[in-house]
Amino acid sequence: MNNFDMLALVLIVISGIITYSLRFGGLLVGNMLSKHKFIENLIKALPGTLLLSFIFPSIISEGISGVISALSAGVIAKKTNNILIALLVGMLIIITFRNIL
Amino acid sequence: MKSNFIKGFIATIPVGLSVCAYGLVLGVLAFSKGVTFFQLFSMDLITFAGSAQFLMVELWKNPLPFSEILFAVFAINLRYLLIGASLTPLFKNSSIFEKIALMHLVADENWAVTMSRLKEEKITPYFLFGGGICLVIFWLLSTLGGHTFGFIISDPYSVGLDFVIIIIFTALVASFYDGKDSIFPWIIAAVFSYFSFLFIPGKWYIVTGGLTGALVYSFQKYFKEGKK
Repeated sequence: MNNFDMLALVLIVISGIITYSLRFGGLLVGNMLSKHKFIENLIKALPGTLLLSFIFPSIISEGISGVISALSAGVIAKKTNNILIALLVGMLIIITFRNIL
Repeated sequence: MKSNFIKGFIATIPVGLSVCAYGLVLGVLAFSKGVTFFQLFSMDLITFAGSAQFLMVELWKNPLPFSEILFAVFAINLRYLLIGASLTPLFKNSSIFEKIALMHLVADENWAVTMSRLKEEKITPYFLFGGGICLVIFWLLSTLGGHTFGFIISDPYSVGLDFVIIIIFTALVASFYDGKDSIFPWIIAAVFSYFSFLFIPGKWYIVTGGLTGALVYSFQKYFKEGKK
């Protein structure tokens, strides 16, 4: 095992420990959290805002096709609750733009 | 006890199948990013969190951006604090050993299935655990399958592979949309992430945008409820 592989494994294990600590920690502090409305709201909003921050710069960098593809995928996912259909439509738009237009 | 495990396992199969689509994509992406079979296998078992694994694979390069990856994993998995907290009633009669053992395989999907079932009937944490085992099997099969056959895709750009993750996350973002209350925080998150993307090297834009947006949401709620 070389240096990179070793570091990679350490990174994976620490990521696992962080994730597990959050899962278990949540259960432990259960009732305490709900008393702090501000923190509860913060945690509630985080998944959406984090994911949005992840995708937004990439969509803008892709240009108009990125915006069309993402908007269609988002609307379809919201309306049908089916990520697969959203993925298919979104990808079809991107592939079409990149290869044909 | 046994029947709760099996009930949970069976109830989670339909979501497990949709998780497979995800897992396949992650596997292919991991292959193209140079993540080895063993590394992906370890991630699946040790981290076992879909969106965090997507982020890890996305940020994966040599040398490894250690602090960025760990912070991103922490930030994107912060929601597990709330998920864990919401499970308190289910674990009411469990020993500390059961809590320690059964919490590892909690993911968004089996949590959602368990919470909706808990409204209808009395179930034990083994229902949740059965769902977790179901998910981990599907997750291993699909991610490692995607990794093994990832070489088939020769030109990732023209088939838009780099954009798959963006679309999946877009679809997920939509599911987090919480009506009018989300609009302003989301605009702030988008603006902050884009400017960080332009001016701060690395992938910190995810954390910058995510945290500012969520803070705005909290303050917005705070002032709204304060006025009442």
